[in-house]
Amino acid sequence: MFQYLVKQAAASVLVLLVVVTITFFLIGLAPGGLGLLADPNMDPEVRANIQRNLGLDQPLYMQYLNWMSNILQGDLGRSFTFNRPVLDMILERLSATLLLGAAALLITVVVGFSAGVIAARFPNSLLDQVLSFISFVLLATPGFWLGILLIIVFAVLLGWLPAAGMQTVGKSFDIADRLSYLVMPAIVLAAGTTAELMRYTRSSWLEIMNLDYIRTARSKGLAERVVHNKHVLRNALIPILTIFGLFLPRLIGGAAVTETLFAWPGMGSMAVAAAVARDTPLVLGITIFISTAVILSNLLIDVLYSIIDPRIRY
Amino acid sequence: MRKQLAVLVSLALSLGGLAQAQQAEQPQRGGTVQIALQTTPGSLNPVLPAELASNIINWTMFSPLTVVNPYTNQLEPYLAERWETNANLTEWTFYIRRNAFWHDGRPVTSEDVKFTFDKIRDPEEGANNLPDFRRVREIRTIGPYAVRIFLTQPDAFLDDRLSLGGSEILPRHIFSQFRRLRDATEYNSRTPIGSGPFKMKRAVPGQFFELEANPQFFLGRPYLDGLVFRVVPDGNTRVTQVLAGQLDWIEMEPTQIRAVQGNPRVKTTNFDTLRYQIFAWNLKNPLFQDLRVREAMVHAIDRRRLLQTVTPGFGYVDDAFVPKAVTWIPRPNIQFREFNPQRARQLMAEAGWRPNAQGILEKDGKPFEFKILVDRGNTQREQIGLILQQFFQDIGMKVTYDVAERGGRWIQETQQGTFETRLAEFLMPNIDWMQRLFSSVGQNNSQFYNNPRVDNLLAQMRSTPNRAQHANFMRQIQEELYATFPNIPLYFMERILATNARLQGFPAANIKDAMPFIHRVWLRSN
Repeated sequence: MFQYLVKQAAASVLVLLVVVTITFFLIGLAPGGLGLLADPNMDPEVRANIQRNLGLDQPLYMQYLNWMSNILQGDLGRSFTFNRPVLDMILERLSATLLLGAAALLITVVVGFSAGVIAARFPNSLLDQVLSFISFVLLATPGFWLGILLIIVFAVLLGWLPAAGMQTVGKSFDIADRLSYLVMPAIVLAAGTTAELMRYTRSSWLEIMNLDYIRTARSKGLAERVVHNKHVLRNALIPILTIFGLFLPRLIGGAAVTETLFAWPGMGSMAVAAAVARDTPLVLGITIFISTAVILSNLLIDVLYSIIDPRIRY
Repeated sequence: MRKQLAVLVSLALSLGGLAQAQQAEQPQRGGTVQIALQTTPGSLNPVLPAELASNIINWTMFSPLTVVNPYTNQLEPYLAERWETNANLTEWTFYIRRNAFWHDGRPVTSEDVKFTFDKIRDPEEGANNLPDFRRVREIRTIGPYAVRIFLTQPDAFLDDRLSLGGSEILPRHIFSQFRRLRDATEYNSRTPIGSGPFKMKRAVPGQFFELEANPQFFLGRPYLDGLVFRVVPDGNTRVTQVLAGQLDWIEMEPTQIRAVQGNPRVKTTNFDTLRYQIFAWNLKNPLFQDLRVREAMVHAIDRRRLLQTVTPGFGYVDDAFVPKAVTWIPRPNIQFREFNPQRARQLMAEAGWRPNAQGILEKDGKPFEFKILVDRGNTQREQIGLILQQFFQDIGMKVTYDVAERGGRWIQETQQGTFETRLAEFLMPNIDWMQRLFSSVGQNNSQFYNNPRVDNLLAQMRSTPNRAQHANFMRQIQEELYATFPNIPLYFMERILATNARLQGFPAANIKDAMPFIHRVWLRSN
């Protein structure tokens, strides 16, 4: 296992290198340029000064080599737009991203998994059909639309929840206040993954239920509860974990739309703003963080496989 | 009859009472106003290049010497209580208010002004307003509260230019410990110290910026206790936040107005943005050098219908080059050129362009063919480009719609002068812009307009400090522009403010321009 993890870690570094290199050249070669320089009224000398100060007057490969040599020394550079260390900016946003991601993950696991099991326990029943219908609706609903709908209902019409942001300005830290801001973005972010997890859990569960060893367990006279909890659950978890591994990076890095809509100050909205402004160091810093999250979550899932199914050995 | 009389009397009395109540309504102290920013401000240092969000917030915290009053669109004193110039306009002396203090309590002095302007003049600093200071030879302090600016040539617009943003005064005592302005990272991102009506209380970049009233503000303590700038990138969310009472003051797109209409909490106000969309020719291109051709192209466009289609209806069409809201400049004696395709065809024929077998205008065997360069991402201009293509094709021109990234080929072609025609947005915030746009050597004359009569009028205007004469010159210049078609003003743009109905005293202007006068804005209690 240890050997496997070391090997995977080495491969991960290579993957990271490839990802950031591709990202760097994609940004550099894409048409358009730094947002700050897009003003046609900007004086040519001012433009040239800014380009020189940011190192943009050098050829792209030189910019890459400079950036890479800084990275190897642990320096993610400074944002072109904000002139602040990229690492500081990412760390500022990380807690908001993790909070939203964790809340969405919690909703996904609790609601999606439970609904999937319930649907599988009563296949083709009215309850199963209702749950299936809801999951299809959630899968087909775009996040931005669901978000606006929730804001109009719960913030504008009912006035129960704040429309956007992360905290009430001027108020000291208060859990209830934070939760009130968290509810809607977490629901929107979790909507799709919850529906997906429900579908996967249901089908995985039903598949296991039809296998011979479940029939054997039942014929031994085991209680239905024991059959499900002891024999079905563990075996059904393997495919569910695979899907779960795909959700993790999506919840951490893929929340751009939700964060933008709810003005949630996480990395997703910062990534969008950085990409629009062509803030290369910031985009690359975020890419490194999100790629690392993807790699780590895949490693975590691999480890969990071997815990759940002792037959799996690395 | 008696009953009608009684009704009239009671109506008169109630109207009188209402008028009295309105007269009696005095601005009230207190309250916090929440304003949306579309992006996180890139820099809280007004001298360094930044985007709109930074400009909005910086104008509440920093003070320029002069300012354009958004209530009247006239230039007024701000940090400088007055200024004077010598007879040939090469020496300008600004007198700093003695009651102006930095947010940390130190007095604002002429040393701060000299320090700031010297920094702007230093090309290594990368300040946005460097070109505005190219004519400056030297800056000298004349005592603690006066500063004299020596110019290399006469310039009547220096006071105008200082009002445009990017020349707000910085505290020397803070920046003297840094080699470059950009090195003051903490100041530039979280802890700015200015001399404006509000001061920073708490900055949480990416979320909000909480400001409190500056009790020592030189024009008087603001009525409001605080301002909160919230970063809300999505336009629809901003509208819902106004409806939910989480924001008090936003700018809206015309298409969003229906969402707030009829809501008693929200008030909408139209305002003239002082901007207009233009269709610009590259006047170095021989195809567009014949005045008859340019006039024909003006008549080929139904600008009234274009405005209705694109905005829809928020704005107005005009052939003047100064927005109507700038009322101190007299209206030029011109008549709007209406849509008249027959006249357009006739003018093209007079210029020697006749339709070939395919209906394309031709002269000496060459078709009348050109591209319209449009910047991608601006939905209004993308629509305008397609509509204009149709109008020009209708009179027999062969037109290609050429959309390009604004930060890439669009800006390259604009600056290198390689475009054939393009769509752009012009701004006329003050008279200095007239020379920037239409002087043959104007720094923003991207269409290569060259008219010695306009240059002469601009030169005369530059050599007089008299405002009344400026206004008269501006009228004459517009009449000359009208006759010579430097570009086609497609429509002047209006936008909409959606505000908390209790918000009072704000000008009908864009939020950025209102900020230096934020101390006059107040909240009516329920």
